[in-house]
Amino acid sequence: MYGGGMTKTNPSFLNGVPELLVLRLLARRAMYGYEIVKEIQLQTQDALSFGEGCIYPYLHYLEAEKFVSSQRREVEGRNRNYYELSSRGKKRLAALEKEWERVTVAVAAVRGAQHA
Amino acid sequence: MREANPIEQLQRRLIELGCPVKAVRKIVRETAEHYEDLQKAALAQGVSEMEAKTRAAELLGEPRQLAERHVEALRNSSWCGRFPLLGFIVAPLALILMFYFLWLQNGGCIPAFILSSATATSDPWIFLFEYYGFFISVLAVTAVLSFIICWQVRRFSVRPRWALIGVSLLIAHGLLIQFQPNGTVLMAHFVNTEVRDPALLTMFAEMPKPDDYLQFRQTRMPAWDNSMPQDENLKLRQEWKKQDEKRWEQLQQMQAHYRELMGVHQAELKHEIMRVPMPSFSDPGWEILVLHEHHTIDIPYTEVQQDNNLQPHALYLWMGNEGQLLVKGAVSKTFSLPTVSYELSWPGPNATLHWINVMMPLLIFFIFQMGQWWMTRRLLGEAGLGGAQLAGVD
Repeated sequence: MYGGGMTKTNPSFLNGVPELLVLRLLARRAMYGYEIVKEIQLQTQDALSFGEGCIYPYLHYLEAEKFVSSQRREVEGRNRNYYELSSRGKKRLAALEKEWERVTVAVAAVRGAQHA
Repeated sequence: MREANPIEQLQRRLIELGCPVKAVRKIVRETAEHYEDLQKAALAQGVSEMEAKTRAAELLGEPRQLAERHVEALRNSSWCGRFPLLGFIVAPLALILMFYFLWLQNGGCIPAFILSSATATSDPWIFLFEYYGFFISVLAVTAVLSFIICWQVRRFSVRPRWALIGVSLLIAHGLLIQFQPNGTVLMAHFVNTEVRDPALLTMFAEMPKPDDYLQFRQTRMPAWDNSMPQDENLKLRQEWKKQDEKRWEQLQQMQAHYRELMGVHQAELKHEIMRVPMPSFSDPGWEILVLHEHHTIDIPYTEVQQDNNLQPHALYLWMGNEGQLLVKGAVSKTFSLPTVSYELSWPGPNATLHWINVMMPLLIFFIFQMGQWWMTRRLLGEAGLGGAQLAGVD
């Protein structure tokens, strides 16, 4: 996500991708920050690497925009901030997915033309 | 000297960047939990505690950059943080100018509208509002705008210079404002209502006697009266007197009729009078009673109500199409309303208010700064860093 001195990060063309990933994951169930990061790493097989603390500015931004809401919950004896997708977030996710599809189709078309 | 852990570094940097307390606590708590999870995961892989900490810190990311990202996200979550020029210069200026022009024009369109109906009553609270509330409301706008500017800066971690710029604009505006205690003359105005109980008329005016009409004509129109030949004048006066007596009888009958028909409490009538202002008036000293068929009787001016603030009312009475008795009352006074105007003079007609209006934005700014300073000390204390390190704060 964000550039960090200690960890290798992805280039800037991935701007907007974290939002899509976070919203997609939260669409399945409510999660806390660490859980979200681990889920991204697991599902992308560590293809996307970033300073893990950077997930929180994103989550707080999404919360400020009312795309997600947070709630303090106790799970297995530990209090965590769980984030949940709001109805506004669902709309945002749909829009982002549509946009992402448009970009990937366009990129694929260019790549296809080069390979042809 | 021990090296501060990444959470302490993060917290310190957030405080240095002026992040609000609530946000600092939330960020630190979440990041600390994450850091703990990372350490546990590393320990589960069999590494030493020291190695686990190092690995967790690496995975978490550089704390100072992380703090800056947080503050950037906070700023970007508000439009005034994204566009400070718009939020702290254009918007306050537009708001305050809009308010003042609305408030200034003819003593303020809005207050003039309110007061034109309000002064028809003798309610002391309304007069209190008229003479003091107006100035207080002007000062309140400056205070509220200053507060909003400082609060937005604090809330969204915007650089404090924007707050200073915003309040400076309000101060500059305050320098141009002059408070005029008797700035605007509100002309005599009407209230209009329907009287459903003629008994109420006596609360406003004593019923005129037929001779009063004659006397009225002699005093009000002497030139016209004296220009007529004596015998013709006398004849005309006798004719008028007959007509007046006839109308007097009509009026009495009408009163009796309506007294039977209706019953309205005095307070209810006053309420109606307050509610319906009418905007024109020429001669407040006299009342005209118009009966149906357009016959006119002039009624001598009668003082209706008098107190320190309200001058006598005059009444216009006439018969409506459906036989109802209609009343139009006039407040026969020109009121001086307090107002404000743009003038570059110091200290102006009301120096105290002028001073307050100018200094208030600065005062609010300093209160916020003091609050920020106090909270910073408190947070640094919580973080175990101590107030002595405040010198390094940006």
